Amino acid sequence: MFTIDLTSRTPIYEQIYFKIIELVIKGSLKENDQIPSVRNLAKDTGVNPNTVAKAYQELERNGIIYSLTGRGSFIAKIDNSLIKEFILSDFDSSVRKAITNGADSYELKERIDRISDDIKGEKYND
Amino acid sequence: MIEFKNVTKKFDDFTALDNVSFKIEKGTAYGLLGSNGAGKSTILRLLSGIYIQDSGEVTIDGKKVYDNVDIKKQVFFINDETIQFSSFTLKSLKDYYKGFYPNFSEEVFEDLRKKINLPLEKKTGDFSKGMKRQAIVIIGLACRTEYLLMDEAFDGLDPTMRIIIKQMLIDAMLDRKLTTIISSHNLKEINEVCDTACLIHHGKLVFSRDLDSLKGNIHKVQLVFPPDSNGMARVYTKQQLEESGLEILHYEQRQSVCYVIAKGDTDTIKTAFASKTPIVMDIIPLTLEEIFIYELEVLGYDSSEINK
Amino acid sequence: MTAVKSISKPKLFKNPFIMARIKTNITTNRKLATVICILHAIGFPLVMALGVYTEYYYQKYKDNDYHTHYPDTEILMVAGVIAGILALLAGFVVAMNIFRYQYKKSCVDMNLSLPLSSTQRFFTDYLTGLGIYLIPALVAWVIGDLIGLIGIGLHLEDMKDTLSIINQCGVCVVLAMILFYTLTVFCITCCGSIFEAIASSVLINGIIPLFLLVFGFCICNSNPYGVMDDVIMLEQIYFTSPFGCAMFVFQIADNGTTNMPYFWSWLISIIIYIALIVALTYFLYKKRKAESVSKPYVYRMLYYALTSAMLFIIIYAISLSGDDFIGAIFVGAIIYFLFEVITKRGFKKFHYSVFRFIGTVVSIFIIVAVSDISNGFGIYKYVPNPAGVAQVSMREYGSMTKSFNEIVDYGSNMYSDRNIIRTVTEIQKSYIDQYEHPEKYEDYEIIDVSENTDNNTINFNNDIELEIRYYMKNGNIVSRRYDILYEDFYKITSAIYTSDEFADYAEDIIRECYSHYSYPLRNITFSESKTETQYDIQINKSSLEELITAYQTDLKNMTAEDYCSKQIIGYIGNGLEIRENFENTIAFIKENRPDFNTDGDNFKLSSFENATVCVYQNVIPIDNIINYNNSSEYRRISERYILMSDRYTGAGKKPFSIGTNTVDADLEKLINVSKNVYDSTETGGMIIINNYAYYIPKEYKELADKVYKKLFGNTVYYYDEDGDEYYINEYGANVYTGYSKDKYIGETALQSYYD
Repeated sequence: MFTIDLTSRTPIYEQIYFKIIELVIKGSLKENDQIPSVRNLAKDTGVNPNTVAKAYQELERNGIIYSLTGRGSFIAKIDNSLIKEFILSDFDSSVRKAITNGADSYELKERIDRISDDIKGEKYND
Repeated sequence: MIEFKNVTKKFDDFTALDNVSFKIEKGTAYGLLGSNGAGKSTILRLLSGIYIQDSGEVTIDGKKVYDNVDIKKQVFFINDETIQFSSFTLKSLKDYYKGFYPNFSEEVFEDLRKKINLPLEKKTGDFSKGMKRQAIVIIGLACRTEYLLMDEAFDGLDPTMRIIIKQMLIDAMLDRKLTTIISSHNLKEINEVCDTACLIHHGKLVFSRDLDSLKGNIHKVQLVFPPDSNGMARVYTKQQLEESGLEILHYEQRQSVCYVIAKGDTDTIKTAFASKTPIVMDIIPLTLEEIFIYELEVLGYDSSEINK
Repeated sequence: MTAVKSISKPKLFKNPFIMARIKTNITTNRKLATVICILHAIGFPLVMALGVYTEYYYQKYKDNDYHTHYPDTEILMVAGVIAGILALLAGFVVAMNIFRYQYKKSCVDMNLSLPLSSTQRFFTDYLTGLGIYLIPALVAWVIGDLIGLIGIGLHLEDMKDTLSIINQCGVCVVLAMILFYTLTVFCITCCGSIFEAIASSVLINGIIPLFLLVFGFCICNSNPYGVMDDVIMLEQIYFTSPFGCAMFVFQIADNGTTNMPYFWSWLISIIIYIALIVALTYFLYKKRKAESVSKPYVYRMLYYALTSAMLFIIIYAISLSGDDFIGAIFVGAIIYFLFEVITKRGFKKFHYSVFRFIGTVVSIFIIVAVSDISNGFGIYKYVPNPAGVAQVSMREYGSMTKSFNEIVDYGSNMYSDRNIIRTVTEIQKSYIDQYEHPEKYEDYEIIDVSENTDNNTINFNNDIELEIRYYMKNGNIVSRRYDILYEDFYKITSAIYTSDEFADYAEDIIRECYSHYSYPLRNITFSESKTETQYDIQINKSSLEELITAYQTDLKNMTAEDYCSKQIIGYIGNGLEIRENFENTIAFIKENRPDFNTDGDNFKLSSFENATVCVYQNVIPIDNIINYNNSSEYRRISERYILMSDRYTGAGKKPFSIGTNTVDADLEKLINVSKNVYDSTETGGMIIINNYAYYIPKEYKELADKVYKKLFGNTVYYYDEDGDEYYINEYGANVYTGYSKDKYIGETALQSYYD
């Protein structure tokens, strides 16, 4: 489930943080699912437990997870708007980049529709 | 908590540590980075009470370390040389240390020993170099001291051993708030194992910081600015870029692209450059190596000096 | 000083870290410890066993001709001795092993990171090592003693005494071992690398005693007045190094138990000395930094001290044996720079070495110069406080004839009488005073009599070379030697003779005469003075006591003036003087042998078969101008002539032989009126009979002249073809004077007469 790229430029705790969020968004982790304990995650990935702990603290602060003493940490009620915002912020920066580089908004809208159709079509074909 | 306050240590004319100050919280895995002869081993030896500083204070939990039995019994030092008592068997070596470290655990020792298959009754002088290192590491772990100091300790350990040791450390950190201090010039290792690190160069402390915040606070930025009236991409000098309040460690302008190493997190940097409306702004985090190179560059050191 | 103590202060042996350290020290060194135990097992106990066995064998199997059969155990004995010596030397190895982390870099981290304070570490390591070294030795000692007890049980001769000496030596050996070990630890602490540690530890054992020896020579060669010992620093040598201790052990073995004060003072000195070294070593150890290991010397002072001392020894020793300063400096330089290069691991900063060398040589010369100028750093000025003196003994140094009573060889008699001690110290003070302030004594002229060839005159020694030994209460022995006038000498002897202590000695002497000399008859021989006639008196137990009481009473009644003036009328045994005023003794003698002449005027020529007589009309003291350079440069001349009858140094001009047929009333009278004890400021004559000199008082000058003329007045001297001198005396005899034209005054005169 978890692979941390220890050589990546991204700070490890960031990787953990975003990894959990990614899994939530993808649906692999649902509300009230248990995530590995700090200890186990640290051992599995070979990462410093403090770093893991920091990621978990951040997740908890942002309401992504909640912890029960003696039981572990679990995915919290997912706030859809947060996830949406999370996904869409990437979209926003891509759009900004494209426009800055000369694409116009009409072209972009067209592309959105096309992609959406493709995905729908894939879904339809399954 | 470990504290170094304005510590200076000289060996005859050579200044190993020059007015070094930092703190190490309990339960952290602290990395000491620097080139050979930078002062890392000196720090470890000051902490284990082998050396005494010329000035300043070296304290653990507020008490000075040197000649202090109560503090020293909480500190286990694994040095970078292979063990001394080559005529000792592993058993007698274990017994040697067991007498001095009251928290020694036979179970931990046996457990580890079995995992890596070290023989009890063979003379340690006959071990391979790697085995010798492993022997002292498992003894150190078995002593269950509050502080474990490892001087280039991961060198000579095979990958299996590394994993085993790391897992042990993780458990110990979580269970009994073990504080590890590891010196290495292998940045990758420090990156993996430690959460906090300091860089020592020529006896001076370059920084001492949480690794994540270190990484999060410095980025490589590639910028292309919008063309000016002539159609050429605008070029700003370093000073001009710094006007935005950013600290710039490195500045390079290659044709139309501006390469900058700036301190700050992603948002700060974005905000800072926003006023210049770059058409391209890629913000990339740095590897630990890159961070060190650029930090040292700022201080005027030739980066080739910290080659491994 | 020490680190923060833990909250619950554990006692020494409950401290787990110290226990752990002791345990590890022992386990690390178990092989060495085993070797030491084995060496000790075949050392002293084996030697003792062999000794007992040999002695037993000898006593059992000796036959009446005292042919001795000894079992053939020599090889084993040698092996045992060698094993013992090796075990003693093992202290060096133990120290090197225990303190390895002081000179071996790979051991530093392991030892210094352990939770032990430096104080704990030092004392634990020091004592553990000492234990490994010493305990087997102590066990071996006990076993040896048990074997010795078996020897006592077997009634071996002298076993008890031998055993007690062995035990006394054992104490010395144990302390020497501790010293050896401690010195090694000290050297190791001062050094940071193995070569220097070994070299220093080995060298220091030789350098300390040699330096003291040579320094002693330096003092001695500065001619300190009165200090004649060849080895001045001997007491210091005995306790400052193991070699010195070994010398001391031999001393004790030789002298038995008669040297107890010596022993206690040595014991105290060495214990304090060891304690000081331990304290210094601890201080240096604590100050030592871990990073110093691998430097040749951590504390360079040791190196400087050793090399300077070595240089001093070399230069002084070589120049002692010849005046070759240059050669000495050359040799010294070679060795010095060799050490410098080795210690500095090369030639860096060589100019510093050269400066230091020059500086050291200059200092040596300065020291020697100061010593010379101050005559041995003023050592000669020391006069012990009488209160601190336990006993004093004196003897005439190196003289062929006794200047005192033969039986009282007062060199072996030690006097504790306060008066005697005080008199000696006063006299010593006065001679030192005259040495320092000769101007006070300038009123006296030095009479140069070397050219005197007058037959009428006899020169005699005015002084005596007296050796004094003070045995101090703290065990030290102070010896001095001075040329003192007989005037002063007799102050001492009169103090001795009038003391109660001498009275006790006299009792012992008389008892010895009774038990020893008169065997198997219980006689004591009394002799008359002048006539030398001997009278045996048979003594039984009660008369012995009577005699002793009588003599002691007379002795105690004798005053100092009596001593210098009352004539000796006879002797008990070989030399106890009977003075003319010894009423009780005289009464005793008269009771038993009424024929004993107690007036001293019984001399009859007829009672002698042969005698030699010399008469001199003038008695002049010789001012002995020889030997000035080593005892006294300034001399008082006595105005008084104090003579005891046997203070005759053998010079005789032209003795006159008396044959069996000679009868001369004048000569007899002259002999009878002359005195064997004389104290006067007046010059008179002297008559010498058979080597006893008697003083002719001034009032008998005419008689002396008459006799002189008779004997020698018309003497015709002639030389034969060999150049030998002869004369014909009044009685017609041809007398060879013993001289030839070139000969000079000496004992040969009389010697040749007797040939």
